[in-house]
Order: sequence, then structure tokens, then C-alpha cells
Amino acid sequence: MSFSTPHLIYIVGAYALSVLGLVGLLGWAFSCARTEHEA
Amino acid sequence: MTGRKEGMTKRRTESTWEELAKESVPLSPSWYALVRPRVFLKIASTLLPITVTVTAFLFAIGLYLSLIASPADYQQGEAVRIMYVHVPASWMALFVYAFLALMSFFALVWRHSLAEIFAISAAPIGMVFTSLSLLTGALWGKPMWGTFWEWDARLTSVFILFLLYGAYWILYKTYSRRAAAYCALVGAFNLPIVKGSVDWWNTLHQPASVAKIGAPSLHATMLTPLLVMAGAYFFYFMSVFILRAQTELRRRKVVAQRHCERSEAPQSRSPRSLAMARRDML
Repeated sequence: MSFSTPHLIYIVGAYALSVLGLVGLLGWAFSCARTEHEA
Repeated sequence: MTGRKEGMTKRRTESTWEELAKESVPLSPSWYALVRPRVFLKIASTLLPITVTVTAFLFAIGLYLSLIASPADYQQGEAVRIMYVHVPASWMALFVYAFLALMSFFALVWRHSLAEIFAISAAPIGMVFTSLSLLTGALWGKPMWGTFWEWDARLTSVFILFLLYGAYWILYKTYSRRAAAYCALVGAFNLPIVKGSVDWWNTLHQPASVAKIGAPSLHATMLTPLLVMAGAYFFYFMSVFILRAQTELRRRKVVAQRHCERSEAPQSRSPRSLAMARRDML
């Protein structure tokens, strides 16, 4: 693979945002489930 | 004479109701039995570990294929790899909204509590997918189009989809569940607009390359990681959706129990609290 520098920023940005969004949502869902279970 | 007439009217009414009940598909017991909360919880607890495992497996393969194994595009270069996270997010944003609208329709017509729970459980997931679609699309647009954002038909209709998710969520949480359901149904008109926007208007966004009449214009080396990632997103949705629906069901049970306990005390037995308890009781 030979990424050009400007494209690398966008690719890393897109994948990082996707991971952040999906992991964040999963974490939120788990925290809600745990809070409800404790209640 | 009057008594006989009343008896005949009663019998006729009863038989009419029986006939209607037989004819009415939505109220058939078999249809309702499948979507009882207890049955759902049983299926969900079995299904959740499977969907989580499949999600992890598909993401591992999908990320390998999209970041390492797939080739660069002859025009877009390496930036084509953004497509593997952007396109599945966009597909799921549309799919989840269609599901939300369908569940809202069921909740409005049959007033089934599970349909409402399914709709509110799916809404935040769809909103995240739409946000990811917009953000990753902007990050792809900058190196390809020279701009992060353009008010063209596809981008604007997806932005409206994001606003519709937000409107549904706000209405549900702050105003009324019925208003939120109506909002979801009205917003469903946006779905064909999102899909057709690239064909109906002259847009900066490229036309469909996978979901179109005829063979997809993508090469197999790019189509495979795209479909694997789409599968991963779908099973991710299933996992989070099941988790959210389980949580919402348990929350409502707790709320209903508290309402019942409170309504047992004579001083707090208001018609409103009893109605709320009945509504939330599963």
C-alpha cells in the first residue's frame, strides 16, 4: 500500500470516526443495560 | 317483544364480531403470539451472543479486506477505502429508518407495545449510522470533490434523514409517543427521495453502483469487502438493537411495577397513574 499523505488523513479520520461512533454506541447501550439491571 | 328484539340484536352483534375476528388477520392469535415480550426476551437472550460473535467475525474479515487485501481505485486511489465504511453506514441508515417507520405503523395501528419498543430502540442506532454516513462522506468528498459539503440532492436528503431521526427522538422523549410515530411515518417519504435523488437530479454524488438494475459496476475485489462490511454493520445493528430492546422492556416493567405499587395506596390512585400503569404493563 502506498498512501499519499493527504489521503491518509481522510482515510484514518473516516475509520477512526466509524470506530468511535460504533464503539461509543455499543458502550452507551451496555451502560444503559447495566444501569437498568441494577435498578 | 322488546326483550326478544334486544336478544336478536345482541346475537347478531356477537356473530358479526366473531366473523370480523375470523376475517381480521392482524388480530389473529398466532400473529400476536409471536411478538409477546416474554417470547421476544427468550429469543433475544439466545440470539444476542450469536449476533455479537458474527459481528466481531465479519468486522475482522471486513477490515482486513477493505484496508489490506483490496486494491486502490484507478481514479480515487487509496481514498476508495473510505467507501467500505461510508456505504454500509448509508445503507443501514436507510434500512433502520424503514424499520422504524414500519414499527411506528404497527404501534399506531395495533398499539402493540413491542412495536413501540422496537422503534425507540432502533432510532439512536439509525441516527449514529446517518451521522457516520454524513461524516465519512464529507471526509471522502474533500479529496475527491474538493469540498466537505455541497447542498446537492443526495447529501441534503440524507441530512433531512438525520433531522428526521432527531425529530423522532425529541418528540418521543419530550412530547408524545404517538406524535413521534406519526413523524416517523411522514418521514418515510424521504426514503425513496434519498434513493432516487442521484437519478432524478443532476447531483455531485455518483449514481448507484451496487443496488441497481443489472450487474453492479464494482469489481469483485471491491464488492466483496463492501458486502462483508455491510454484513458486519447489519449484525452490529442486530446486536445493539437486541440490547436496547431488552433494556427498554426491563425499564418499562420496573416503571409499571412502581405505578402499580403506588396505585395500591388510596391517596395516589389517580386515573392518570392507572392509565400509565396499564399502558406500560407488559
